[in-house]
Amino acid sequence: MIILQTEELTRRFRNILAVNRLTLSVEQGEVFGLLGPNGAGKSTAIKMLTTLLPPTSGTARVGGFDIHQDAAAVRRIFGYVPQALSADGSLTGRENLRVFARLYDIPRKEIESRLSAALELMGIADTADRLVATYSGGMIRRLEIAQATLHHPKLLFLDEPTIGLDPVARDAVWEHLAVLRKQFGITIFLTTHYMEEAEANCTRIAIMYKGVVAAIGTPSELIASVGKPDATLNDVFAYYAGDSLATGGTYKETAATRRAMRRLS
Amino acid sequence: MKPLIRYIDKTLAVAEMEARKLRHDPTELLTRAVQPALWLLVFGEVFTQVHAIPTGGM
Repeated sequence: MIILQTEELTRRFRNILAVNRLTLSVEQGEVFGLLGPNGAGKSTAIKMLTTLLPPTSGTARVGGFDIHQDAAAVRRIFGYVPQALSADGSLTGRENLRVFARLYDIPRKEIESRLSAALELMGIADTADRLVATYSGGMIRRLEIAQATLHHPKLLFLDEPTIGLDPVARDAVWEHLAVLRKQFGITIFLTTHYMEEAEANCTRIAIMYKGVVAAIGTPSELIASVGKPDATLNDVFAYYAGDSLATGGTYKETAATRRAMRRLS
Repeated sequence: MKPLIRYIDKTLAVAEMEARKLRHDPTELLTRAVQPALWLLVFGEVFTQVHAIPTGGM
């Protein structure tokens, strides 16, 4: 069953075409990775799919609802972990979750049990009553994932979920995402720069470059498409987004990425 | 849940969040109070000097 489908989704900022005729579909239960250099249009695509940014043209349906006409219904279907920090450092982990539970309209009788289950699932139950300002980067990311999945969404959007985390914390985030997927059959749509993570965890990958999807397929299909023995996903990335070093990312995007990394380190 | 009740409930959730933050760090109350006080002092002083806008004797 298709949970997400886009048809020629386009977003233009004055004379810059950030996303150009994006057409793709994601099956329920998939881990779909949107890869690309800075400025490729990944975050803009996610912002349109999460109804935060209206498309210039084209359509998209999430869980059968149109992102433009049924935005409120779409928002109830997904959870979203943005690249920027979404947990409040001046509150405890449990308090952060409680706010989200109320914003998601979870019945009051169920709130405490949902909070306990989410904290347990993400492995942060022991530190739930500590201020988030004292958490490590990996713990903050896991708390943010717990926040975004409290209402048991069908689809989870993750914008650079492991950026700025050390390898151990990154592994922990992926382990907990796997548990979440197993337990709730959740579909994951993520953007990342880390090729090895995408190769290990994504069922399908789309490589975006200059606003268009340059290639799409399973990691093994993409690797085979390069036609080079012993190729890795890094080679695939270089093959489809080769001159990204010269063109990728504006000053603003670089600053935003570094800010996110600094907050989580 | 009706939209109005939902709206009120969400407003209360955000208000409760702010109250909890103040409970964790009461000094925040002071720092939050300083800024509007500064505005009153600085802008108040400036606007008493400026008579460019006709206020009808107010």
